[in-house]
Amino acid sequence: MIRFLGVLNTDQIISWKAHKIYRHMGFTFLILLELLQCCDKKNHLLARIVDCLLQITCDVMKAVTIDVFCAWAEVNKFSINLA
Amino acid sequence: MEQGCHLHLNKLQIEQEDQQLQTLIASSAYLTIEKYQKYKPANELIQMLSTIARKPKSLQELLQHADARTMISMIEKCDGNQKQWFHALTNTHIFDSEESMACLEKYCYLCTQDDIDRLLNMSTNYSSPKTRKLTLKCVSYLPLNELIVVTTRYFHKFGIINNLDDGNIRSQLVLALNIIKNVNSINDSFTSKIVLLLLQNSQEVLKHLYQECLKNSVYSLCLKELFLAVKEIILIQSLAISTLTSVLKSIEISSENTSQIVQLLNILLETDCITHEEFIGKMIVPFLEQFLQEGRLSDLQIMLSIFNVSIFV
Repeated sequence: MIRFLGVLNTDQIISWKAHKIYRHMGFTFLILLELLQCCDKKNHLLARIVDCLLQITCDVMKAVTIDVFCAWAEVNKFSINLA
Repeated sequence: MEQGCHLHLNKLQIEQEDQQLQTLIASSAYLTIEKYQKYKPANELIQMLSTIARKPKSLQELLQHADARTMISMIEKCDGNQKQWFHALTNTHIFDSEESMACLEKYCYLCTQDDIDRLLNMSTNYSSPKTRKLTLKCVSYLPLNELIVVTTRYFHKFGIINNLDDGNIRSQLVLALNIIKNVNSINDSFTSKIVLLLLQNSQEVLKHLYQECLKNSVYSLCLKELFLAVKEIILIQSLAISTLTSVLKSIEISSENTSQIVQLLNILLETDCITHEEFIGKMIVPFLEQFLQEGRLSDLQIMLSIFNVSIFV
């Protein structure tokens, strides 16, 4: 699961608790979706990027369990602390 | 790259502060599905997203279900939807909440005629100086024609009341009247000031205006435009004629002030603030009867001469 989270310091992540990871997943997922919405799918030059994005988003989605999804409901007015 | 990611996430969070992450993702998923529905490579993703996608709430839905706190924070954003959030706030029990009142005060210039109608209606249930002051402040931002409309509507609905009187009317009136030098002094700004004062206590204001006209006939001429503008207001509950009658009763009618009285009467008759029926029925006849009963024959004579010279004849 950690592989899908992008380039992060593995030592740092080990100390993270579940809710922090889920939150991070949520925001990453959100950004991926927003990126997909930005892309012009008719642009052939972008086709490869779009396809990659779709694949990545799928992979992240596969990691989203019920626990993760429910955790997202609790993320509200808290400030993000990714460090 | 991580810093850039961090900043972007911060921006996201600031924009969507009041929504849950789950809602945001569900809405975003819905929009993504909409966009990639016909794109074959996206089929797998679309299937997965449809399990969590939810149509984002329209602004109307958000407005309907929001509480006052949410509305205030949306107004503070000062974005394109600010006005709609503001109108939603004026639909709440705004005078019951300190926070709502503070927001109203800060953005009072956003009030439309409908907002003011609502505020005026609500203000009749409160008598605190704070509510009064705030209501008057909001009203003062309306342009003249809308101001007259809301004032007329207010008095038609509640009768001639003085719920909004902040006790400061006389000094404001004197200040306003001081600028009158000639007929051209009457402009929209002056008329607006007078209408705002009428909103607070029309009997007091009208009485004072009449008294000034009776002291100095120049005022009658100058204020003709004003009387014309506020006609609809002073016609309510026959305020124009009843105030005039009580003012005339309180002064001493003599041959010296006859011309001022006639001047004022003619202006009011010309502008239709007083009808001819009212003039005779509510003024001339009662005065004549009273003077006859009390044996005040010289006053009777003066009143008859006033009647004689007025334009009605």
